Amino acid sequence: MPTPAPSGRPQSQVILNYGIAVLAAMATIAVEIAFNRFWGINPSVSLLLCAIMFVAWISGTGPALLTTALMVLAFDYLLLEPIYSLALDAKEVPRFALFAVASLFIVWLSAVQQRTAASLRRARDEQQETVKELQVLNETLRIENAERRRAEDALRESEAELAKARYEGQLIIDTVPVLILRHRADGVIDFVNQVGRSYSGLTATNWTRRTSAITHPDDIPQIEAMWDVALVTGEPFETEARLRRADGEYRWFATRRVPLRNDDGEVIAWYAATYDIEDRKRAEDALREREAQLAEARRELELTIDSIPVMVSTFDADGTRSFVNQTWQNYTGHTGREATGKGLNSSVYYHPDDVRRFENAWRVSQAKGEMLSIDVRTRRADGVYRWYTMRRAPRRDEKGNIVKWYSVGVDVEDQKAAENALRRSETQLANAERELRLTLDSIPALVWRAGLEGSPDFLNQPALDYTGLSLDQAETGWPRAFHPDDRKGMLVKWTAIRASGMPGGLEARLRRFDGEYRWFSFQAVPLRDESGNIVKWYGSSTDIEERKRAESALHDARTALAHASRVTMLGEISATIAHEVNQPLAAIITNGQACLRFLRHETPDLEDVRGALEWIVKDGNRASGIIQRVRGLLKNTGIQKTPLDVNDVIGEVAALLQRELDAQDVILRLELAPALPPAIADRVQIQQVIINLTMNGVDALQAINDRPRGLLVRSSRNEAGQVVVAVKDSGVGISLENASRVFDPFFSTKPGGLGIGLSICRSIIEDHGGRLWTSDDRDGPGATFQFSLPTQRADVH
Amino acid sequence: MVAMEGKSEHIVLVVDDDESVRVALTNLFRSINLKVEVFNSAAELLQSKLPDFASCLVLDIRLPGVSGLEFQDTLAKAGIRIPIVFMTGHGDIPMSVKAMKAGAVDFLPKPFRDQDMLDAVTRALDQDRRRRDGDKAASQLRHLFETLTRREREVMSLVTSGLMNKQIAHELQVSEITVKIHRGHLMRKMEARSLADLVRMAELLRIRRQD
Repeated sequence: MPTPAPSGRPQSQVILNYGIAVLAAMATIAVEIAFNRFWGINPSVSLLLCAIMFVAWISGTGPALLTTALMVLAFDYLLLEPIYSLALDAKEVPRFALFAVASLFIVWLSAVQQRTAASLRRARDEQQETVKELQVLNETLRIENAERRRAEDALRESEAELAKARYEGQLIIDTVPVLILRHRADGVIDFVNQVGRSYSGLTATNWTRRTSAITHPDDIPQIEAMWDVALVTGEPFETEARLRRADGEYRWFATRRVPLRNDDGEVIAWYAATYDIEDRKRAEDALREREAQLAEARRELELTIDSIPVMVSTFDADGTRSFVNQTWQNYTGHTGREATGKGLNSSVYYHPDDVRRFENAWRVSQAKGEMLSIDVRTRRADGVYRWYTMRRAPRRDEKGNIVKWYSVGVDVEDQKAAENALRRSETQLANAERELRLTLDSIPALVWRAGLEGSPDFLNQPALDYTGLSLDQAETGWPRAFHPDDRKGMLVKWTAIRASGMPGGLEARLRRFDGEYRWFSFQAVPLRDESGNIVKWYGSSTDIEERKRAESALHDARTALAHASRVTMLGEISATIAHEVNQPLAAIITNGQACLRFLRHETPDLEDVRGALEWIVKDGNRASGIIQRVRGLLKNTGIQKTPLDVNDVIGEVAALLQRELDAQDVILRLELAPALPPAIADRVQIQQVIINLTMNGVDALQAINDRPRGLLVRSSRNEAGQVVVAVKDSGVGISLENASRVFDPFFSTKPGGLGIGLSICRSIIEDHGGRLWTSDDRDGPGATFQFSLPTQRADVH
Repeated sequence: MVAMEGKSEHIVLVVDDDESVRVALTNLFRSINLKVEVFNSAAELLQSKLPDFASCLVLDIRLPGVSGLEFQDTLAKAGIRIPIVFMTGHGDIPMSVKAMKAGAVDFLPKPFRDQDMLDAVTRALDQDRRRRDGDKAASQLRHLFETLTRREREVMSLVTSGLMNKQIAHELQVSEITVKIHRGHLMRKMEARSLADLVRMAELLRIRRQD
């Protein structure tokens, strides 16, 4: 609202306001007239009042009054009778007056309002002024505050630094490993630092005298004396004393005291620094002790040097003897004085024959600066020469120059004698060894020696010649000289022999230099030291190729013979076999014929036919089985060892020989052990043996008529785990003189007997690794033949 | 083919220790409707009750424990007259001769022709039947004979020896008429139809006096 200021209005403003007042009045009148003329609306009072209000509001009181006046006039003109004239009827005077009053009232209100408004404005302005002033003040205060805070901060900082500095100072005073004391001018203590307090364990109040309370009583006098002097002279002084630690232990301390003077030069205080010198003191003591020990050790050393039974001497760099020990003096008979310095020539001490050699060596040694080591005969005091080993070694300084020679001489006379004797015996030994080697290389066997791990470290010449290897090749590659098939078995056996520690042997094929393999028998014996431990294995190997060939031929012959014997035996029991075959054959034919007849019936019973046919098949197989068994016995194959149930074989033989036994009235009894382990054997050959033994039994029973003809076959297992079969008859028995010959070939008690049966049986059983023997029958008449068969598979080559 | 009539009972007893043989023979005999009984051993046979109708024995001559010939002997000694057919797998010729001499019906080597076995068995059974019949007849006769008086027996013995009545009367110190009467009586009792019959009966009874 454009509010003119209550005072000091510009003139233009005033004019304007009055102008407005007039204009407003005019406008209002115009409008009133217009409305009345054009629209017929009666002039309104309100409009006139509005004009007044308007002017009052806009322009203020004065103009409003003007307007009021105008409006009153207008009112009069327009609304009061007579209209359109300024005349005023008497009856209109109230209205007129009313209007005038109303208008004035309006103006007055407006004026009041304006005044209020103005005073409010003034108040506001004043307030704003105040506010502005306050703001300024505030700002000033804020700035002042900030400055003050800065100043405070600065102050705090400097205080802190001060405190820190003081603290550090205190820390230093209290941390420096020095006891710091301050004395008054008269020497009495008035400050002790933390170190001092901690060390002593006493607080400051106990430190009152000149000399600290913890000083060792014995040291106090000295310190007091020095204080007396110092107080007079004012000069710094040092003392050493023992101070007591909080735990009661005294330690050495050194104290230095200095005076503090004021500007006038007077002593106002004494400052003392006391530091721990205990370790130094101890070190000093230790040093003293060490020196004493050193002196003692030196004495000891001198004594030792003079006592050891070895000649010791020293030489200067130029070679003059400078010292000889007592032993030297005693042996040579010369004193130290005679020997040292430019004393006697060394040639006096040594054997004339050795002197030249010695001096040469010594010269060389000195020139090269190398240790001299020489054996030389040295003259004893009584004129006898003894062998001594002399050693002279140089000592050098930092630059490498020799400063001294140290010499030691040891009596080796006895040793020399022993050496000579040794050399003599060594020569003898070498001769003996040569002879031995000659022998070894001449005998017709391969001789070798092996270490504990089994490799040869010596082979005689025949061994090297045969294999064509050198000793080096043999040491590492010796297993390859064996036949590949024998190698593994040989290694296993060789390891077993070495492990057993007992002499042992093995057979294997060894490769000759030309590639051919020949059988050798290797025998090894251990060599033991005094403690009984084996140190070496010695062995010899013999060529057994020829023997092996003969053995092989023999084996073949035996096999052929066994076969022939089997065939013969089969012939003997052929009647039995024929019968055995005949039975099923007859049954087959009969059954077949029966079938034919069955079928010719009007209503043949096929069940009968079927039954008969089944039996035909069964009997056919039975006959076939017998033929096969016979064929097996007739075959001439070599040994085929398989796991065998011996009870089975016994059963087969019993079945085969049943007729035979019946024909002879022999009663066969079987005692077969259950659960026998399988024997590793050839079925046909074992059958042969059992048949043979059984038939022998039958033969032995032929002549028996007064008692039952009994034959017992028993199978069992012995402690070694082998299967044992016994054939026992109650026949005529074996006489004592025949007992030993019973297995001999071509020995027979049977008339017309070839006598090869038992010997063949024995060789068959022994081929299997078993044993065949005859044993005494104490219970009853007759004879017992037994054989054993191994049950484990053993690695045979 | 031999067909057995079913008019009388018969049985074959087989003794062999070999089961195949026992079975085969059983099949064979059954194929012609012969009854069979099998035994494992001679002892087993002896322990069983022997049939009292026509039977025969088929036996292997080499049985375990006892020889066939011995067994034959044993049976004979025991009065067992069952006919025997021997068989053997061994080809024992000398044995066969002995066996036959001792009364075996036949001796067959194994393997045998079925026909041979069947023939032998048939023969044996027939023999046994005839014997039994004969024995039965004989015992009947004996029965009848028992009914004769002493005199009648004497007369029968003399008559069948060929003596005339007159001679018999003289022998017995009786009249001829007495003899004739006796003769008539005994003829009737013995159910003989003729002298020849009587002679035959006397033979059977072994009462005929031999001159």
